[in-house]
Amino acid sequence: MSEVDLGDLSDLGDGAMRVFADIGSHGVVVCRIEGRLHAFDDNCSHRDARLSDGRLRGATITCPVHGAQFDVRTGEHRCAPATSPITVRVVRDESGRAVLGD
Amino acid sequence: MANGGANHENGSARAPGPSLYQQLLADPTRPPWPLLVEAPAYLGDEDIAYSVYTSEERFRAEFDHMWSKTWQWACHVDHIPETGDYYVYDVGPHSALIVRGENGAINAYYNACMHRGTQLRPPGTCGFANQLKCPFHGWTWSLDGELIEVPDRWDFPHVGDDTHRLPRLPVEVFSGFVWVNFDPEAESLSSYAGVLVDHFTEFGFEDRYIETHVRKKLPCNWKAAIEAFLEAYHVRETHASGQLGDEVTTQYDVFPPNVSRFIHTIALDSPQRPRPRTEEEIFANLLRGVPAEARPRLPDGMRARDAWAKIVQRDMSSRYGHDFTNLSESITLDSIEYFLFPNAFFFPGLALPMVYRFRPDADDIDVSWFDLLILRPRPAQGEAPPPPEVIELDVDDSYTVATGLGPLGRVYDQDTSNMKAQTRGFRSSVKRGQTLGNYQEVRARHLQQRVRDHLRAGGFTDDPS
Repeated sequence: MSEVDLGDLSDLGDGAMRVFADIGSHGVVVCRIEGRLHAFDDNCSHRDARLSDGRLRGATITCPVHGAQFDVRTGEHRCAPATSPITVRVVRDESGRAVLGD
Repeated sequence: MANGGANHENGSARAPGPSLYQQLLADPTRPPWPLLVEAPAYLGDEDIAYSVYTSEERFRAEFDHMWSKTWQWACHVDHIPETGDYYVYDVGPHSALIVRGENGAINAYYNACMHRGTQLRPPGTCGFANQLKCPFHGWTWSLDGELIEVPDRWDFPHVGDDTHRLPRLPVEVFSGFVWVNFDPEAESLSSYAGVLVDHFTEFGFEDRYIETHVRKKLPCNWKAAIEAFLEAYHVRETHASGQLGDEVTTQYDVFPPNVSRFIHTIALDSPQRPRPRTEEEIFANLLRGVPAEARPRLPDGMRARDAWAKIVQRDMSSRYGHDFTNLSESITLDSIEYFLFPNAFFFPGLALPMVYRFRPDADDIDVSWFDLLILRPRPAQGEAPPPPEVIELDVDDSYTVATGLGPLGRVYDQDTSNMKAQTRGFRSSVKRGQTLGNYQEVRARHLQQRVRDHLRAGGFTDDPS
């Protein structure tokens, strides 16, 4: 996937998520944690559900369907019923422009 | 009571020197009234059989008859601030799913699907859900525990919305924490907590947030872990290389049935020291971590304790945006430790503001889990920070990796350093039980008696050998 310009995300506060539904096959969620941007595919690895319907607490997103939890910085799954990680993406914050990589 | 050799048959002997009560009255600022309550207790002097720590049968009986019937704090209110937030609290086989419902309500459910028993959410998780759906067959409940979906409901005419709603367990909020009791018939927490309710009105725990949270695996039975923290008798050998310090006047109180306490002063000389220290010496010792050029002078005629209290008050006032300069020296500095049976500790002091919780491992009688929290005053303006990630420490990890503990890290390393050896000694000892000091170790005796009370009520009796 080539780079995608996400525009100006300076209004995305710490702990907040924003969904870009048209990117990739599931959409991509961008969030800010302690000032830094992180991005992951909006898809739980356990079942086909939107993680963006869940809540980001600290660096952990909980899938609202069965409670699978993931570290959004690494994609690593943290508890049952997830048995595999989610896909994370590289996102660069370039003064006024956020750019999504692969 | 200042004597060294009263009638030893009723536990009235005390260390030589002034009592803590007399020390508190000598402070310039009167402490809150609970600290001036004395409640000594003599609970006998029989040895405590080591089998209470080593009997597997008793370990299981504790889960069946004690952990299932007592109030324990499951999480802090800040762990479940918004509707849909949940927290899973586990002790042994028992698991409670605590959920923030609509309109701020807090619900606690037995964490098991009403279909075939699967836990709805995994142990020890803190998460979010719009509804509670079981991952096995998809049976679903609302946040209020109402049954809202049973796939192929036609196959379950014997399932009623009422019979298969999620069963609640008693849950209450007290002092900023969410408490649960696995006994659906439990008395209220305020009845269970006795004097704590009145005492805690003076301390404002609900105005504190969690700044640091460490959870360590300990190599001993949960009762031995708790007992290591119930007395200050160990301070001279475990913490101070044999030096007697301000802990010798520690006051030990028992408030039946479920509360005990110790209070020990900070920055007063030990009345048992062969050569008394001057106030300058005490003050210099308190400031030993500060570079010499940055150390303030002890004002003429001022006690080290009073000067140190002012320094701590000014520092904490500026750090946390409050004015603490009217607090008593005791609340500012002292180690004031309340215990609520079976496993919770609360320290209302300003400089020593900890909360503890101890839990048995679910499977290993010689392992326990110790949650250590540092609470700080909520800011006067704006929101407190969200609860921090738990720092998980294994048996041989040092507390000093948790920088939020500051110099206390080393102290907790010392406190936990005797546990393996004591645990081995429970089995290698030819003497069959532990001997406790009548006054200084009475709180350990109180803990053991309360456990025994619950076991007996459940029909389990200790083997007399």
